[in-house]
Amino acid sequence: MSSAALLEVEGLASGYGKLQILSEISFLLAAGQSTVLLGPNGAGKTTLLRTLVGLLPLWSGEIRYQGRELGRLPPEVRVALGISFMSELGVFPSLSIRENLVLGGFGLPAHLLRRRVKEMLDLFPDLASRPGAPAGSLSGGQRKMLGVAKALVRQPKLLIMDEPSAGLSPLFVNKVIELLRRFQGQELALLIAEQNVRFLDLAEQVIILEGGRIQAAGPTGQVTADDRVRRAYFSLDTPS
Amino acid sequence: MFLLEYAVLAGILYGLYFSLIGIGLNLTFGVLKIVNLAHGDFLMLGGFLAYFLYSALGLSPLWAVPINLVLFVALGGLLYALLIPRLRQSRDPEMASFILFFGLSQAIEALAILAFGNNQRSLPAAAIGPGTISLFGQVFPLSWAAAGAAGLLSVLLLYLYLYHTRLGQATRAVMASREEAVASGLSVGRISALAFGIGLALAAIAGVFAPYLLGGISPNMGVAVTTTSFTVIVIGALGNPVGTVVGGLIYGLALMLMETYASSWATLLPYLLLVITLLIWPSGLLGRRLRSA
Ligand SMILES: Nc1ncnc2c1ncn2[C@@H]1O[C@H](COP(=O)(O)OP(=O)(O)OP(=O)(O)O)[C@@H](O)[C@H]1O
Ligand SMILES: [Mg+2]
Repeated sequence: MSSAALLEVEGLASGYGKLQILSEISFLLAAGQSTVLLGPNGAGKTTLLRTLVGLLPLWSGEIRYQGRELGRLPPEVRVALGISFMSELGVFPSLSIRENLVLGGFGLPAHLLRRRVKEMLDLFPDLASRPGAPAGSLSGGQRKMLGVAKALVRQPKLLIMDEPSAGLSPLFVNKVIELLRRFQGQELALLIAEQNVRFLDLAEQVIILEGGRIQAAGPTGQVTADDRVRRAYFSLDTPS
Repeated sequence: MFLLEYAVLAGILYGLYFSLIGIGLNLTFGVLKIVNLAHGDFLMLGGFLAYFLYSALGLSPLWAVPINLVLFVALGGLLYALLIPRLRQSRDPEMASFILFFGLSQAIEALAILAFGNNQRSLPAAAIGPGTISLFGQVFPLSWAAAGAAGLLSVLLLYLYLYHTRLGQATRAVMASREEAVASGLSVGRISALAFGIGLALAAIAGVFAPYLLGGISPNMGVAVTTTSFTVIVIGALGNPVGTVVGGLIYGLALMLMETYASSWATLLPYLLLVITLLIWPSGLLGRRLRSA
């Protein structure tokens, strides 16, 4: 694909304490490309994302971002380099909507930060109507919106998301997908861990993770055409 | 009636001072989720600094306020870097933190006894300024008013810091969720180190007034002060520094009322209030709503 790989992962291994969860994980993300990481509960999706962001130590292997080795850098440096992470929680519940956005851009120069926060509020009328309200008072769907907005304040090159659909009704899942579509392409690459196959609509690339290893990976159409994959993940869906 | 009025006003002055005593412990708890069992010992150290400024250099003890601020923020940063990363690597960080800070408390006390001798020190009333001050027709020592003012000012400044500066917002973010703060790219280590330092500095500043309001300073006062601080923050709301004011005022008023009407019970007060609060409002008077705000 594109020669300008944004993120290159090679032979990654990681886990908790002495317990190894991930082994031999290798894949490429191209700039501006969207990838969905699919896998059953306990497959290691969250573990992989947390290792990429630096919340978990990299045991072995390499993570290169724009050609630069990330493996030993602390999370705040990775975030400053343009990798945003939206965890399952995604927001600071006791802080206000505006404060959440401001914290999303922590470290940006004041004038730039003010402008970005205003841009985000303009994009999200639901949030702009009461920016002083605590994030914890938002509905599940609105909270995800805020999580996305907060992660985008920095204008990252790569947005990593852990199950943005968790706990959302199908209607809100559609809304989140619609929202992400707006930011897709151009400068922003997405890496989304999901169990909801609806997110495949967004993806140019699919990675299937099972038992801490990559089972299949490739362009969305190709992977979803695979019989084994279809049986495991699309028992109710028919491929388009 | 006269007596009641006096007790209430004195209770408010003491209450503001108790807020100052507790607020640093609460900040540390909120950010690090550990109870600094050496809190009272840092108060003691701050008190001795004020004592020596006066007795050795003839300076007003009030000079110890800015000096303690700078000194203990720096010391806090250093201690944080030395202790906390190791603590986080331990198998059971919570238990380890209790042991570590209990040990730190013992070590500070032992060193203080070596350095200062094991007797109580006090400062003459005149050291802080002449005589008395009259509030609403009641006369109080100037030192009480100074301590109350220091408490009020510290709480206000801490509030402004936490709610109206970027670094303060980031500090509240760490209080809300350390994990999310790291994931959001905040420099959680530096933010926590600063909060820990501010917590120690607030204790040390409270120490400046200990010779007047706590009846003196001595190397072994730390444990009792830590118990009082803990009571104050549990009454207010654990983890919410601003809620400490409520705890401090209730504590101060209760103390003064008891000293006025049932003085033999007054030494039991911290334990009584702690037990009552835990039984009736397990998450503090301000409860969950403000807990991590
Ligand atoms: N903090 C932890 N300590 C030890 N083991 C953990 C920890 N978190 C997760 N694991 C284990 O790691 C494995 C992978 O978990 P992970 O959370 O990465 O899965 P996941 O694919 O994100 O699952 P889900 O879809 O349920 O979110 C699981 O077997 C889990 O039990
Ligand atoms: Mg997960």
